[in-house]
Amino acid sequence: MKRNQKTAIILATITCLLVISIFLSLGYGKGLGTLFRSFFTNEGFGLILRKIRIPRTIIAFLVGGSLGVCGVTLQSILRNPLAEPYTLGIAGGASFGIALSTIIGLQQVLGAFANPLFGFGGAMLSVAVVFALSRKRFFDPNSMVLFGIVVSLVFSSFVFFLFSLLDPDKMQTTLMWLMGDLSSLDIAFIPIYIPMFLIPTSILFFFGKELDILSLGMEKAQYLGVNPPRFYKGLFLLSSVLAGLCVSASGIIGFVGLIVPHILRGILGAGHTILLIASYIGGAFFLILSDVFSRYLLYPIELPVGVVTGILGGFILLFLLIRRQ
Amino acid sequence: MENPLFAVNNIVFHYDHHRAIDDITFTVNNGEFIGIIGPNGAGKSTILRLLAGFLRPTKGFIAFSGRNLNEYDRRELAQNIATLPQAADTPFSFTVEEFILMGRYPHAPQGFLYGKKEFEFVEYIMETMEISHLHGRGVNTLSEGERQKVSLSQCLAQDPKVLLLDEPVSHLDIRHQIQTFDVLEKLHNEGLTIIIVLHDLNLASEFCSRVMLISKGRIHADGDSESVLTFQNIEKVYDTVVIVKENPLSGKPFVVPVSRKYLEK
Repeated sequence: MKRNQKTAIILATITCLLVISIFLSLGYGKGLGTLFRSFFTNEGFGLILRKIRIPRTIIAFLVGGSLGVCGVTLQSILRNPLAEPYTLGIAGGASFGIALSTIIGLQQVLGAFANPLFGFGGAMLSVAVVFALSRKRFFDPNSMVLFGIVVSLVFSSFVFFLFSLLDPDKMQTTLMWLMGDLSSLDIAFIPIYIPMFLIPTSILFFFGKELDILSLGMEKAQYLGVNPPRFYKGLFLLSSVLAGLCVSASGIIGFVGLIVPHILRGILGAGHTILLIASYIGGAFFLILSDVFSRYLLYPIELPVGVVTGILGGFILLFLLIRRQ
Repeated sequence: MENPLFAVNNIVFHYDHHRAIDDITFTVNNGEFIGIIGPNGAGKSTILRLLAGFLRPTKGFIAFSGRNLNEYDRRELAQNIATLPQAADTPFSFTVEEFILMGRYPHAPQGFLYGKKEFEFVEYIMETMEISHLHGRGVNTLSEGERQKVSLSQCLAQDPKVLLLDEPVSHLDIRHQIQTFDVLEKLHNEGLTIIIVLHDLNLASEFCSRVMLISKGRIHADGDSESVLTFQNIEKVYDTVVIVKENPLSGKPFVVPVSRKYLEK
């Protein structure tokens, strides 16, 4: 029972942190009263709140939480605590998609829709390649990681190839996007994205028991009554679609999917049912907070949020690794 | 007549082009304690994995309780057969209870969390295995001996009819080896059927009610330890000269390999 109480307290704490970060993100520099009152006004701050800050916070919440959940899922099925949502080559594919859409000038035609569409398309292309290759190896985790790295490298090289052909002015938005960018998503996407994000995440929440068992390896998992090939395929595809959505919404945001599960596993234990929920809340908190930093740290200059998560996450991870030794 | 637990009928198994199991037939009855022995690469682990349903025979079939093994779904199989493979480690530090709880998976209703009943079953297993003091410990912090007990407890949490073990003691010292076998013997006396792949001929001789000597994918000898562990059988299969004596306490044969330097004299 003691353990359950501890779990409940930790979950409550990170939920509080999440709520605080949401208020910070919505009303930085304003009091709570102003925040509530301006929500109903149609001018000045009220407009900024509804048109910019709320959509941006929603996207940071969805992306951060999903990256946390993807990280947990992939770490279990790949049996590797260092796996993250991009381990299987999604980032490379997505960047390739974006760079391609830029070079053939689709951004002019499709406007705000070009990056999300091509990012997602590229991500799914790389997923399809890794999936097809892994299938031949019966989803052996080591082969999958290797395929992921190779696919990612090949796509990244294509990206640099395309960049070398591009006019430097055009590169600016693409580059911002590659570093993780929560600012440029069109708010028209929000109503579409909410269900698209929430459906795969809520499905993943129900596979905590299976993720526990899959981390014992394919053979033992089978002996415990899980059908590993089916779960490998299903969980791999679900988490890939989710990671692809994240990339399409906000570009490549590193470290969230790695560091959030890592820290939470350290304090909550390895049981995946709780870890999945905690990593969702924790991931959302970490990304929203990083976004606040990215906006106000060097105000009025706005940093790409991926740079903030990278620096912040990198230092935290280094600190943890050194302390453990 | 009651169906035998396992009826293995003329099975052949190929790894790519290598014929690992070459036409084997045998039956396993309820309540047996079988030791599978044989040289490296003879096909011992392959037989175990075939019985466990992890591998499917290339030819022939295995019936479990009168039904083809291939017809069972994973969950149903895991309710009846618990298997401890050589490698079943995890990179994550589950607590001992969480680890054993995974054994309840095939019995627990589908859903978000495990129920109270499953937790109680884990407590019960931990008591009978005398590992209650390991409560709250991370599985990655345990000693080899403790870890083995915890892995065995996970299998027992499946409440199985049959326990299949692949060399569970080869990395343990003699104290922990005997402790493990004492536990297995107790479980066997309570009615559990056990099939165990072993390197140690003397442990097989001492504890198993039936010994199966495998050589090059075939059964070379099958029976009680006195009839299987003869120096003729062992020298032929292992290509090693041995002395076979009788254990003065149990009356079972024990085997001592002979070093080459004494052979030349």
